[in-house]
This record gives sequence, C-alpha cells and structure tokens, in this order.
Amino acid sequence: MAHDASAHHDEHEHDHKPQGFVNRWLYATNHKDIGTMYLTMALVMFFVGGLMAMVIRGELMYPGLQLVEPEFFNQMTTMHALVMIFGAVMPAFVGLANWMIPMMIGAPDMALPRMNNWSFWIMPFAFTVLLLPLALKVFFGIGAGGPAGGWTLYPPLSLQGGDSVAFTIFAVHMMGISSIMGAINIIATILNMRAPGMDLLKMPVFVWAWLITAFLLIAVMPVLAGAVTMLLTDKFFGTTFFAASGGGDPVMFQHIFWFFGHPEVYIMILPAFGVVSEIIPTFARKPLFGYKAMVYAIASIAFLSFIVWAHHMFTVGIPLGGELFFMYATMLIAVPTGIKVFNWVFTMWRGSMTFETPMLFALGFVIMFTIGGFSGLMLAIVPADFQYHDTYFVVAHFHYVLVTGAVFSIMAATYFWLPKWTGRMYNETLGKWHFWLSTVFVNLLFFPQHFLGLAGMPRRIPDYNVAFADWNLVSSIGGFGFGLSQLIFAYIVWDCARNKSLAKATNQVWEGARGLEWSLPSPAPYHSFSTPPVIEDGMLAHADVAH
Amino acid sequence: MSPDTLRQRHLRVLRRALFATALAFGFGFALAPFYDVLCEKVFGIRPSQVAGEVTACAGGVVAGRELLVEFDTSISPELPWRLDAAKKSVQVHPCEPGTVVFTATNDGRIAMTGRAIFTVAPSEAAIHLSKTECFCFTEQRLEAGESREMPVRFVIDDQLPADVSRLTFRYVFNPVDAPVPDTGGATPTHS
Repeated sequence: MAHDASAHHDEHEHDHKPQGFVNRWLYATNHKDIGTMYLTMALVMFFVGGLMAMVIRGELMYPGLQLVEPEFFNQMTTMHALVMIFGAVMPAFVGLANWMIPMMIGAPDMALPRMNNWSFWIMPFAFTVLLLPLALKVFFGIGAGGPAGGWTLYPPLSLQGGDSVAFTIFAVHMMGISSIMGAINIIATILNMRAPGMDLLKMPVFVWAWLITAFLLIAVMPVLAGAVTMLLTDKFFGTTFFAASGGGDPVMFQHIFWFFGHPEVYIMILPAFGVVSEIIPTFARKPLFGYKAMVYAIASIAFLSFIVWAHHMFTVGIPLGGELFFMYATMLIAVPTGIKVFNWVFTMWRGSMTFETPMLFALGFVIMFTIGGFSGLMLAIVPADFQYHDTYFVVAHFHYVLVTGAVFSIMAATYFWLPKWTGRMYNETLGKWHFWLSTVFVNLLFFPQHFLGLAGMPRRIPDYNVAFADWNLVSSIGGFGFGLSQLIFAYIVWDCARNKSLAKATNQVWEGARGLEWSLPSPAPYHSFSTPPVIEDGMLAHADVAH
Repeated sequence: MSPDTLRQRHLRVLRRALFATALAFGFGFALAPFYDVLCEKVFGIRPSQVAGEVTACAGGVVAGRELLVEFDTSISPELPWRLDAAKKSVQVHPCEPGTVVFTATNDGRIAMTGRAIFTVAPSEAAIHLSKTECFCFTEQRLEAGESREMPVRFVIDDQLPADVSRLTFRYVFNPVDAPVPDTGGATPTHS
C-alpha cells in the first residue's frame, strides 16, 4: 500500500478523470463522483425540506393563522416529509455508501457502474416531478399546489386531492426504482468485490449495515410501488382497492403502506448505526465492543421490522389479539437496539477518548437517538398509544430518531470522512460550533413537542388552542436556530472542498482510525484499489474477530 | 479471477435481486385479495359489508344480556342528501331481532343514485351480525326532493364476545357513478 500511496501523491495529474463537465458528471460511472453527486443533492434537498419546516414552525409560532393558508400549511407538512425522507436522508446514505463501501472493502469501484449512474440521475427528475405542482403554485400561481394529504398518502383523503397526487405517485415510483437499483449495486459490490482476506465477518460495520439495508430496500420499496399504483388506479382508472364506495377498504392501504413504512424507518437508521460504529471506536481508540453482536443485532432489527407495522395504526380498530402481537413485537426491538447502545458505551469505557466534531455528533447520536428510542417504547404500549396517537408526541419521537438520529449520523460521517474526500482538514472550530448550536437548538425544537403531545396537541394542524402557545414559541425558536445553524455546516463543507489554504490531511486522518479507506492517500485517488490491496496485520478494525 | 466470471457473478446477483423485486411488487397486490380472507380467518373480522348468516342462536333469545346498538350516519360530500335514524340507539338481546328505520332525503335539484357502505364497531362483532333487510344491500335512487323510509332488520347472535356490550352501526352514503368532483386541485382541509 505504501508505495501505491506515494505513486498517487501528485494526484491531479495521474487520475485520468473524464474531461469536461458532461463527461465527468452526466456520464459519471466513478463511485466517488456519483457519491459526491448524491451527497450534494441530499444537502440541497435538506435545505429545501428545511425551508418548508421553517414555514411550518413560522406558522405554529403563535396560535391563530398568520403566515399561510391551512391548505398551504398541509402541503408544507406533506412535502417536508417526502423531501426529507426520500430527498435528504436516503440519498445521503446512498452517497456515503457509494463513496465508502468500495474503499472499505478494497474494491476498485461499484459492481455495476453504469446502473449506478442511472440510479443517481433518476433522482433529479423524480424531485422535479415531485416539487413541480408546489413550485408552479408558489412561483407562478398555476394550479392548486402540491399534495396535502400527508406523506403517508392515506385514502380516502389522498384520493380526494387534485392531480398533484399523480405527480407524487410518479415521483415515488422513480425514487423507488432508483433506490432498488442502488441497493442491487451495493449487494453485488459487497458480495462479489471484497479484497482477498476481507471476510464477511471482518467487514466494517458500516458495510454490514448497508448490506442489510440494501436487502430491506429490495423487499419493501416494490411494496410501496404496488400500494401507490393501486392508489393511482383508484383515483384515475375507477378501481376500488381502497375506495369504500366500491367495496374497497381504506384500512388495507394502511396495512400495505406500513408494511413498507416500518422497514423504511430502519432503512433510514441502520446505515446510521454503521456510521456511529465506525466513529466511536476511532475516537475511543479501542476496537468496537462486541463486533459480532453488533452485526447480529442489525440483522435482528431488520427481521423484526417486518412484523411490527401495525403499531402505526393501533387506533384504527384492530382486534385485541393483533394489538397485543404488534405491541410485544415492537417492544422486542428494544432488545437488539439496546445491545447496540450498550456496545457503543462499552466501546468508550476506559478508552482514551478525544472529542473532535465527528465524535461529538456520534455521541449526540447515541444519547438523543436513545431518547427517541424510549419515546418509541412508550408509543408501542397500546393503551398509552391511544392517548399519544396523532399528537405532537409522535412528532417529537420520530424527529428525535430521524434528526438527532439519522441526520446527526450523516453529519458525523461527513466530518469523519471529509478529510479523506478533500485531502484537507475542515475548520474544526466551526465544526464544534455547528455541533453545539445544532444540539442546543434541536432539543429546544423537539423536546417541548413531547409536552405539547402529552397535553393533547394534534399533528398536522396550522392553528391550535392558546393553551399550547408557550411551548410552540419555544419550539419555533429552536427550529429557526437549528435551521440557521445548518448554514455553518454548508459553509464548512464548501470551505473544505475549495479552500486550498487549509491544513493537509494525513492518510490516516484520525489517530485511532483503522480500515482500508485510511490506507489510501488523502484525498482518495480517483481510481483506488485497481489491484486488490494486500491486507496486513492491524490494518482492519475487526480482523481479530474469532470465528 | 478473470473478469468474465466476476461479470457473471454480478449478473447473477442482478437477476436474483430483480426477481425478488418482482416478487415484492406482486406481494403488495396479492395483499388485496388475501386481506379479507386473513381478516376473517385469523381475527374473525369481516371487512366487507355483506351480511352474514346467523349460525348460532339455537338456544333462542338470551334475555339476561343487553346490547346497546348505536347508529351513526354520514354522507359523502358529493351527494346532497340527508340520512337520519329514527332512534339514536336501540337496546336488544342476543338473538332478538331488532329494527330501526332510516330516512334518506334528497335535498338536491336532480335525481341521484347512492349506495350506502356499512361498517360495525367493534370490528370483531361483524361475523356475529346478520341483517335480513338493509338499504345498504342495493343502490338507492332518490328523485329531487324525495324522501324515503328504509327499515333495517338485524340479529346479533349469542356467540358475540362477552366483553362487547355496545355496538355502533355506521352508514356512509356514496354516489354511484357520479363524476369525481375536482376539489380545486388539492385536498380539502375543511369539510
């Protein structure tokens, strides 16, 4: 590896990058270029979805209607969810997978590079279609705006919407195709392209997490495609899968949707588990505690995700036996998740820890994701859920697991690998500012929503009882603060990518870093591991796992 | 390893994954026909509105057990109709026939045809309920301004789970073959 690294030292001259913008990006097949495009698009979508969140918090800052019409408010909640889930979190993780998996397993590129190109380039078109009705309304006053029936698209409400439903469904189809192709690529890469000596049970946990996530994607994205197709034919072609007037059952949609929807939740969090399992050992300077238990826990969570879907619909009228089954199955998820949290804590136990920005975000993840996990356990209890259902308690719960969980882990991953990507150290002082501002404001934003929910404030409303006014004001201030703090993040990334005066990163970047990606020069050469690396003792983080 | 075999291995993964994708897509649709069957066989719920046969009730009316049956009605926004029950609720015993009269009125200016959808709560009561007469069995056509009295006759059998003492019958009138109205392009927030 060492001579390989020096040979690539003067990287820009010998990389044989495709010349010209169109060749380099439009026809991209390089996993690093495609990863960069995914991550860039995710960042843009993060700000688009964030802007919608600002409209929501702006309207909810005070009781009464001030800023927007209720109709537009509902479009904001619906689009915020769709953009953040399908546009920000999922593409960000696919981007990380593209960048890191080949480098982590010693492969030259992804297995199916042309399909990789296709799975990225579908996304901008999907989001154009998704955002078009809303953009036409906002910028040109054409039409009635985007879908407003909630991201879950429950009939009959979604069937009563206008033609924006068709745009949403078409966009969901395209995003699904993109995700499935991305997942196939990841599975083929991991199964077929590992360097000699990189056994399955020596792989980094991030790679394991993505392998299992990819299987989840293939299992459930087509189910969502089926559900929205039925919705489409119900609305436009006179079928009655879900329309009660023709003998259909709207509750059936909820079952099919959440059969997709619950594994989808884990699609957004398993890669986050992987990221945190890479970062904590690095900055604790200790191997990951219980590597195999971590892998099996991820697999258990993935399996359980298929048998808990009805906990999203406890109040719809499910027989007692069903409620009990889904309640106990849901609570069972706390066991493998608990194993993971304890193993992260044990990894840090007596480690010589330092607290660089990636570690701060990873620690923030462990603590705040666990808060979200606990409120999830509360929601799993059927009689309690009847009280919490459709209140701000649910909103607080899933934002703790998705924002301080998934999004924090994506930020941790960005800071962790950014020096490897750009060859420069990002601005650590600003990074710490970003972490602390984000953490303070995100808790100000979401923690009071627990209180609002327990007091009975419903979700998806633009106006509320004055009794809820104080905590909504606090929450809105937290929201604006959190939103503004993310501009620091965008600046740090831009600065690290462009500012040539920043300190050069070493190959290993972080003192405690282990794994093949750290054996490459920084920035990682355009083509890496064209010949499989020879794995030496101590190079891998999990090489000494006894089988 | 030669590049050819690696290519073959990639294609094998691709083929299997696409096959799994197709299966999963089919699974979503397969849930539609299986849904009613699973509900009835696993949980004893009959989601469809066809009234069932009373199979129990060999012992006659169970005088010692009282059931409260409440009625709830609503009309799809596309139908300018009213639907009212003569009584808000009735008391019956298991296996005792009950009757309630509903009145539907067309307040619109044109004749329209509607079809009522029936649901019962709690859902596990559905297979213990049978109706001998209901306006929900057939389509109803009302002339402009016409009003019609429609009796519903029902029996609840004695196998009804012991913890159920209160049932709600709900009827929703939907237009038949009416053009789907354009609500202005988006979901109405206030009805």
